[in-house]
Amino acid sequence: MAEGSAFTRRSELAITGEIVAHQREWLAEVRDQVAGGEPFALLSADAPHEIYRAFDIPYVVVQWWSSVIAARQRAPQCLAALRAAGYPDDREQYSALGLGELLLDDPSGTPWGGLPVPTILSAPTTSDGIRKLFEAWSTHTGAAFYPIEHAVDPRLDLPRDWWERLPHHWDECLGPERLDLMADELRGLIGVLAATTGRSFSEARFAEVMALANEHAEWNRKTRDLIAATVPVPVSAAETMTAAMIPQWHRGSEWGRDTARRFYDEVAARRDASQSVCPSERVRLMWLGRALWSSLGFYRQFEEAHGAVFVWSMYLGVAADAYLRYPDGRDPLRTLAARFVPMGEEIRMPSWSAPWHLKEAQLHQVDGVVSFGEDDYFSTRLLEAAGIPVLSVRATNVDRRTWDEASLGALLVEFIEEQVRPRAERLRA
Amino acid sequence: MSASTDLLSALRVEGPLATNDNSLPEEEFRLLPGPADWLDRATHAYRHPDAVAREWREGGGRVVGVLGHDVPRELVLAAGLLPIRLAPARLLSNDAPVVGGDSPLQLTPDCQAFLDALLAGALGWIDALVIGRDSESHTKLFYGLRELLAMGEAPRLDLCFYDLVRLPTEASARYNRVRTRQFAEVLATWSGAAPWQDAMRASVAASNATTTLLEELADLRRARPAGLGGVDALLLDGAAMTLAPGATQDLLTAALADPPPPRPGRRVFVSGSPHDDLALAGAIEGAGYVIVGEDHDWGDRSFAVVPETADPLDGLVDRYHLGPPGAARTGLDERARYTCHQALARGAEVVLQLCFDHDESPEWEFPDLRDRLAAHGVPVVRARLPWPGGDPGSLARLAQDLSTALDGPDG
Repeated sequence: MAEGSAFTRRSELAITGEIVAHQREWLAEVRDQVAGGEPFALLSADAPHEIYRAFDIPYVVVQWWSSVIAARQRAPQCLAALRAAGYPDDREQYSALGLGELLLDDPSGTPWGGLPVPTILSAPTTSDGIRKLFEAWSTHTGAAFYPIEHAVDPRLDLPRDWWERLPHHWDECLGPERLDLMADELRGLIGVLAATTGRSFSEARFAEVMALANEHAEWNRKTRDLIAATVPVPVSAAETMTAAMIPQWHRGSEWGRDTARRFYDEVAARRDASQSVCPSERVRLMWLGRALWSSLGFYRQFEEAHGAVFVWSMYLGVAADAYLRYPDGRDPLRTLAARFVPMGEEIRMPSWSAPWHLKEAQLHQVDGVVSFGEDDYFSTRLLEAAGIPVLSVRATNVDRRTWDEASLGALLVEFIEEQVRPRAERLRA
Repeated sequence: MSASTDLLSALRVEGPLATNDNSLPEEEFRLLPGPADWLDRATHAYRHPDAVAREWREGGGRVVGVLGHDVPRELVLAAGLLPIRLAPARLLSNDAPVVGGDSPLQLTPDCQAFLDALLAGALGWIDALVIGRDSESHTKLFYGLRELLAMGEAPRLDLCFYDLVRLPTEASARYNRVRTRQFAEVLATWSGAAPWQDAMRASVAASNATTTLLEELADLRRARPAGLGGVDALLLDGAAMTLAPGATQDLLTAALADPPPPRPGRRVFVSGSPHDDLALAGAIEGAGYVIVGEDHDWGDRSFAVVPETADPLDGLVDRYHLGPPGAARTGLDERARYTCHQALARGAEVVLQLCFDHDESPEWEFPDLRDRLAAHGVPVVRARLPWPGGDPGSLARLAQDLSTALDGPDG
């Protein structure tokens, strides 16, 4: 998706181009539908998309749209527009670029033909600023904003192997209080959406959506496992970021499920043909944090000279581990609640994120970790205690004022050559 | 005080102000006429919560350190425990070697300062700690502390996170009741006595009596000229979050009986981040302004009437769930309406929005606040400062910005 960056991403998979093309076509169709009076939602990545899918209300994920804006190198103008309107330009940037673009009011430069004007906005209350940001967005568009309550787990002792427990044992793992609250929230949301759109909520359709979402996640898990086990790696994290993320926002659809399967098939074919993105692989790296959407090619500059390839990002990792929830005879709505109660805690609550990062690093045979803009104290300690070096960078992915490719690249080369490669060579000697 | 002490008497007269054998000079406690008395007592409670706690513990009582505003202190009192609100900025000035600066856990500076104090042993005067979900920085602190405790890298202490959710819905109200009952159960294990309904009613009544007195003090700030400055108000509010209710009411009554002389000055309403030290307010008032109100929880937002309900827990939950909104975790419209209403009710000539560098929330309010107040001819000045306050140069610029907003660049 990087358009106009210093590093152009070389495509590795045919499916990725198809995914991007499909997304463009889909967005154009949605624009036409919205122009015809159909509802359209802008949702946070951690909002319960499956409800919208069941209502057949099209939606765009604001963080994905931010990635598109960043890829178009348009983030600085959007941040400036936020600042000019009196809003902060250094808060919630990954969620706020779309509002900045709206305020910029420059259709000539808008990516992909632009977003339709939303009729619905929704996000959970997971940060101090997100509710206000979405309310501001609502003010500027006239869209209705539906905040979703987010509760915190106050238990002092948590089960840590959430990726094993959550798919089937989610009720025991999460406890009833937060599940009750989220299930109530979902029922409320269904009522509001039915009333405001005039559409009906079908339990049968919802059950189908939930089943498709699980099948989608199962294919992602197979792809993740395949990549983790294959040396040299058949496909880089730069490729899987896009190939996993866009279909994720079609979760619960047949296209989403089928694309995840075709993604797996293509990676498996590369494995079977012994094709690798980096045949001279000597160092396997993990990218911990949000993607550099404005420079996806950046990730691949270390392959030829250093034999260093990024094999992991959270996009496929989360897609593989964080979404699976089986009803096993239980209420499908409560099952969906179990998907969204802990959403984000898997990657940012240290009791869960640190052991998961270590599990994923070991599964992928990672030699070094680059942590970018993350709260990584406990992950770093756990990874380093396991002998895996970590480079921690304080920056924000969509704010180019906080990083540049040359400095970041130099940091990485030093890290690879001085810390990671010696370790990798020792281990493989 | 022991946990089994009669609750009503505890609420009325317990604490250092009524304790006979204490290590503080007697003049700290006597209700002498004259402003120096109540001001000194308020200053002492504000600056030395550790001393207040030690006195309480010497009487056999237990102290619960409360990090945050969004924790029902009435419930803690009903359990026979003394809640003392913890102010990270003031913990910095304790004797213990507290280190600020960069946070390895990427906590906000106030939370890191708190953690530093805890890890350095500077909070040995609390028996238990409850962290309220005032902001997600508190959530992150709880996550980090939970890990450090699990790793054996933090002093062992009784810990509870109180998760109050803020959307004004029935689902949230129900969840808050569940969590509040669980909190009451935790308090019961800490105190050995369950906070039963009678104790809760007494505690709520005491809290409301305190609120009535604080409202009367707020009336002084509404007067023209203001009868009470912002620094004195923050001192009294802070003391009320430290002392037991009986001692608090004595203190506030003394302040009302003998208020300071009226305070002239251009009237400023302070919005934005909660500031837990007097330095900022002191700098503003030192420049000739008078702070007539604020919308953060170390000041006016800290007190509100608890509704009387059949089950006192219902009223208590509603007071914290639906009470005055803080900058973090509440909606834009709700918050802007609240701040605008408060500023106008206090007769503010200018609103100063002070935001700490780390604070994610209040700056989103600025355009709304600016537009709403512009309709009433009240300008809004905003400033971003490092926590816990700016350097003298930035504070001087702040005063200049206020002057410019009120009188223009040549004023």
